[in-house]
Amino acid sequence: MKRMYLLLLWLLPFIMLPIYSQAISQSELRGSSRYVQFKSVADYKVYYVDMESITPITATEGHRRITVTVYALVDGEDYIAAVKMEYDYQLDRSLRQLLSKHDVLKSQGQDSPYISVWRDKQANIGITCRILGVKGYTLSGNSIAELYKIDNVYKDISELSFKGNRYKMLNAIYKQAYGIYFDDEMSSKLL
Amino acid sequence: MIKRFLILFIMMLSITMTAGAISLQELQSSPNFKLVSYKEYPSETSSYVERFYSFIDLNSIRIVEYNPPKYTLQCTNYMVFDYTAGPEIKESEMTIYYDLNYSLATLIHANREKQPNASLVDVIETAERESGLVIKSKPLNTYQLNGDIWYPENRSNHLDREWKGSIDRSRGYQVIYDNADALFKAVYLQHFDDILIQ
Repeated sequence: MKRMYLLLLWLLPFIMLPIYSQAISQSELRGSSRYVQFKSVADYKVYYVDMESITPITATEGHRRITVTVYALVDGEDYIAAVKMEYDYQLDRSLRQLLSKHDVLKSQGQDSPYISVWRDKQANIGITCRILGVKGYTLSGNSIAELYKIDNVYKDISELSFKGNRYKMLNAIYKQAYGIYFDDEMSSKLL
Repeated sequence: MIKRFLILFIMMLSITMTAGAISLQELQSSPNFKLVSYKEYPSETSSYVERFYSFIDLNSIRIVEYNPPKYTLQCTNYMVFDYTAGPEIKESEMTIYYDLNYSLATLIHANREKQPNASLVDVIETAERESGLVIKSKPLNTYQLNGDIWYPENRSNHLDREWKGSIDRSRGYQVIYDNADALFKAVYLQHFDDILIQ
């Protein structure tokens, strides 16, 4: 019996450690520089990007791809959604690239106003994403198994647009991975 | 004599009453009305296609202020809602305040000058926060598509109130932005966002 007890005691850290390391609380998200917050003024939703989770992965030519864990919180909700995301950046859609194409067209005498570049970027920001996995926590950091409870917390995380702090977040993730903002990317090969 | 005078008076009165009225047909056929925006919304349930138009009256354009890099222009704007729920033409006096310090050309050029530490992310942030465009819209009249006047009791919405606000470059403001840009181009022959202030 004693042997059994000692064996359990020995096994306990191996069982608890993985659970503990994945759990995250609201205070941890707020208190560590590892998690960078993105929230627009009128937004009721806050995102924290785990900067240490940002990992570049292989992508097709002309693209760059990153996986990252993003934590989502919503005012009035009691849960945190930890969403593992994969972002795909299409290099010829960076703003610098679009402006460069605009300059070429203009030098060729085509009527191409700057606002058309803006509208083009709004129509297709050049970034897509998909959800790889979701975990749920209470605000105090306990894991929850009932993922339906966090549907509302992360439901629009895949909606990307050329707007506000959420777009800024996409640039910040890219910079952490490649040392340059996505919209500053320029490759002469792409012209 | 009195009868003739009465007929003449009634004729003059009817001309006065209809002189200011405008129909969709006039907006589409007269060259002084510039079509700035046009959108179609096909119905899912019927063959009817709802349409939206925005025109500016080129003859009504007035330079209110010329103080580079700040400009103020005014014109009459017609927004046509050819919708099943209540087709109407909204006529308004549109005043646009332009500040070219925030044109895209100016912001991008200033960013390029800042090399090597410049990032276009800063341009995106500034251009999103400040467009350099402010509108004041004063409602004038509401007409039916055939030019008959709509009376206020028929229908009213937010366009029936005078309002002033900044215009941003988001899609939600595109119709107003395009009106402001078309007005600027009609006077200064260039798009607002293409003017560079150094």
